[in-house]
Amino acid sequence: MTGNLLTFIVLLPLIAALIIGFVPRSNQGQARAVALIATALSLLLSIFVYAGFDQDLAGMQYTTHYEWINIAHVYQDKALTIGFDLGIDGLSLPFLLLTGIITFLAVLASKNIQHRVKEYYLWVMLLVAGLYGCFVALDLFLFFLFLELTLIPMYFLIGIWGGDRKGAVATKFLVYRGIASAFVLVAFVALAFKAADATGVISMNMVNIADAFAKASPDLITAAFKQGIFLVLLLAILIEEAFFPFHTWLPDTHEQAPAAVSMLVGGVLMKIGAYLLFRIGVGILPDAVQYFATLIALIGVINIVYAALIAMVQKDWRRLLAFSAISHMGVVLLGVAAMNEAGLQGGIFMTISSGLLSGLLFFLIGAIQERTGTTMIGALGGLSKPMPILSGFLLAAALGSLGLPGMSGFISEVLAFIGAFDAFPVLAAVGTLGIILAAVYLLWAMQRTTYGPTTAALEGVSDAKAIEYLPMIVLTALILLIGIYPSILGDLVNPTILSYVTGIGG
Amino acid sequence: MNLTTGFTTITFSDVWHVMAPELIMILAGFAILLFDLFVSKGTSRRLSPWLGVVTVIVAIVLVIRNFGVVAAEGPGQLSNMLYVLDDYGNVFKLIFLFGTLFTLIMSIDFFKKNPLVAVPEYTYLLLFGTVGAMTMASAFDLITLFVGLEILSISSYILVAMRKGNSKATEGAMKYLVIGSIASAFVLYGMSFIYGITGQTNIALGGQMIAQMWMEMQPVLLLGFLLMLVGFGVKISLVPFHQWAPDTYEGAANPITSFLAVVSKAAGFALIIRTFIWGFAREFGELYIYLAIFAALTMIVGNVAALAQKNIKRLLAYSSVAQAGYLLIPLVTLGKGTNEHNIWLALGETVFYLAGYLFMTMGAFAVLTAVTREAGNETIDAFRGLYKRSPFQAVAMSVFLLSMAGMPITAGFFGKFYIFLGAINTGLYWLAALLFVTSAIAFYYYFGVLKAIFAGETSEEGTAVPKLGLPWSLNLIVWIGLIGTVGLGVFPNLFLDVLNGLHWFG
Repeated sequence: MTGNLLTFIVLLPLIAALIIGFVPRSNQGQARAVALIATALSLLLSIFVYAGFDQDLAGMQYTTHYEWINIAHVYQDKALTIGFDLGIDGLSLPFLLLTGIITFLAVLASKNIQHRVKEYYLWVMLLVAGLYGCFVALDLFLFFLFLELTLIPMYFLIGIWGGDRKGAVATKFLVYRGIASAFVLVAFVALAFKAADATGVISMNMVNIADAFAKASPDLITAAFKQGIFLVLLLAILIEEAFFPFHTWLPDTHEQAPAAVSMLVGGVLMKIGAYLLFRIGVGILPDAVQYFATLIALIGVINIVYAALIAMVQKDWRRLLAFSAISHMGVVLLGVAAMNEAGLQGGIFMTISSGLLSGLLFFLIGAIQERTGTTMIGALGGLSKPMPILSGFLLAAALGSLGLPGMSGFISEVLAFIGAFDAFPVLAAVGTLGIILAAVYLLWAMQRTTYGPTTAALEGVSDAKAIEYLPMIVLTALILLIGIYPSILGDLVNPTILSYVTGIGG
Repeated sequence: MNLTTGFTTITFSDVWHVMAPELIMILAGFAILLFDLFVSKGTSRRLSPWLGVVTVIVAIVLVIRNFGVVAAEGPGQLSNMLYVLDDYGNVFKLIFLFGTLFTLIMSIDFFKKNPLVAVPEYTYLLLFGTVGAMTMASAFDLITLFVGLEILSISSYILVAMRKGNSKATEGAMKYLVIGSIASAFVLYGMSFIYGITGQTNIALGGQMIAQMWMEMQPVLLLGFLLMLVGFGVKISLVPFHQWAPDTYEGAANPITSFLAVVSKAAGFALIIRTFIWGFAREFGELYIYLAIFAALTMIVGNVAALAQKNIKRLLAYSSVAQAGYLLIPLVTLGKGTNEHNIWLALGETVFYLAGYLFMTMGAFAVLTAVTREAGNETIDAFRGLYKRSPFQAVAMSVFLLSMAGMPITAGFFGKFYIFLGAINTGLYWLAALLFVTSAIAFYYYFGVLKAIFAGETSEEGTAVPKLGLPWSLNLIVWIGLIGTVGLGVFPNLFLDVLNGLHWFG
């Protein structure tokens, strides 16, 4: 019964999409209300799941299983079963909560969408369902379905409600991530078939596959096979996660998408790749991750430094934040490459923290854009006078992002770099450059935006409205909470990480 | 299957037993031809299509009755191995007949709008063409196969040209005629080499001879194989023999285009698979590479060429070229293993994909017919704002396009996934990856149409937008296509289980 909780979390946005489909086009308030209620309920259910979650267990909880498709004779005369399998563990629960919070707040922040409102919420609901689904799906096939489900709404959300280059950017988003999906599918099916060699049953359930890979003898599942599959997967992750040199879709997307959609992309959608890296890379192919550790660390450091340098010269806040996010996600790669407890923990911390910070930053930039009509750093200035509250939160978010102690960014970086220094002292040392650079580009941008004389055009713009306090306060509070009391996240993910780490040792 | 070389006397009841559906179709075709001579022109115009519809439904019933029916002496006994009754033929015939049925239903509307078209001729040519296709699926002798191929081809040439007074139709028909005839010559030339070496026109007996003589006569046999492949390649529009397809598809009337895309293509595959499995099964380990190259080329060029298309029918033509590439993969996998299950798997994949392709193509052409007529042109722009005019048609068209693009929970996705599994099963990883990577490239043009449907504004806000009027016949096809596309995508087991229960070759 409890397992159905997850089913409801995924279904609610889909049902909302259906209802919105039948809402009369003239009544825009209804569509928004339905979307708000659905995301609020899903968030509430996610919190229920968190409340009832046993933090000491490493395995999956709240599992649901329905058999869905059975394809006979598909591999060595054996049948492949695909199930509607949902479940959650200490690794995916933080992602689930992150999704709940960001999606609700993003819908809340969509107030300024005035154009084709009904369709907007319809697509957002489909996107939300896909995002939730990715983090609770246990069946790889199901995961893939949800991953693809995010593509279609995103295309329209950018393509209809985006900026002046919306058409080209929507297509770019679609093709980049579409190709990544192809690699994901190749890796998934190869994993399932290889696991079947060991167990005799073809299943796409990731728990079964992880089991099979952990137990199978090295003759049956060779190191070369694991490495090959991991490379395919890594390629997909690099695209999904917008790492250099496949990163160009992300700044474009953030620049063109409406602010609320940017919150969803930066806060949740972009974290799916990191989730894949932890779940499949570290969880199923730890040997291969270890084998390619230096490569992963190198890619991580290149991204930390390169993206930070590019961020310094950005003129648009949204592009700056996109590169800042890439730079931060580079830290995740560095932490994962270390393959020790601190590194992995740091990686997860950084992913969640970057999700929250991106959500907050894009919300604030959206709010500023709504008032001033621009996100260009050069056109802004002296904002702290007309809008002290928004500026204050922006400063807080920027400080969190550059790793001020007491905020989530700090603990994430500390953990990841502790892990990384253990394994790759030199690369980690180069990587710390990113922290310094982050301070430079963020504070510089802050200074140009909020301090100095207020431009005449910006005199008298209004400060935060009541409805805007909720996202700002909730996100800032969470960022502080993780920074001050990291165990709240650490205790959740620790059992899973320990099981991974002991798996590596043994 | 028992192969017998003896010659037995064939009675009419034997013939009826083996080819009742074909006979019904032929008789009805002649009946319509005569009917036209004896009744007034108006009556004939009105009733002929209905006679056709009734005939096809009767033939469908007869084919369904034939499933699993095999004469005690073996499937080919009652016809001296010229024409076999097996489930392989039956299942393909069902696809042809349903394709023809949908084509006829769509044509009813076409006849109303085009008083110049000779309805009775059109109807019986369609019936005769389908008989040709059915022959291609069941004939067991090179000569009979060729006769079937020619009946279908010649009927198709005329059908394309039937859009009187349209210069594009004339151009398309002329191109189709010239290239098609050359292709037929290639097929015949190839067959003559095979016959010359083996002394057999029967494909199973010929196949046995080929196996024996492969070592010494390889160059000549290979030449025969390649010549046949080129000829067949034209019929199913493999790259680089696909150039006729866009012009012909564009020129032909919409129902005929869908007939060419579905029935003619499916018949080509029925012929190729039957001939190559029986004739060259043992040599496939060496020959599959040619097919693999064609499959890869077809997927790449078909999808890339479609990117530049502005005309929706040309776009669908290139899309159908690409689909031929996907459909060739199951046959390629046989080169890596011809054990029984691999064959059944490959046949299942082909038929499943063709069934999905039938629904999505027919549905798409039904919507396209209404939309392009309303707009007066066949560009993608004709779809602009369809969502506002006619939400249901817009959603249906989107489902068809997403299915062609291979998005989950549609027949197109599951069909591709099934083919993909087969390719991975036999170790053709590169072809499997190419299948989904080229699909991701195809997102670009499918989503271009989707964008027009959803994003485009038809007119200034406030002015009334005329609703898209759809005659009942097109609406029916849209519904059937929608139910089929989504049904096969969500519950693939409904059809998979049927396919698994088939006695393919008796």
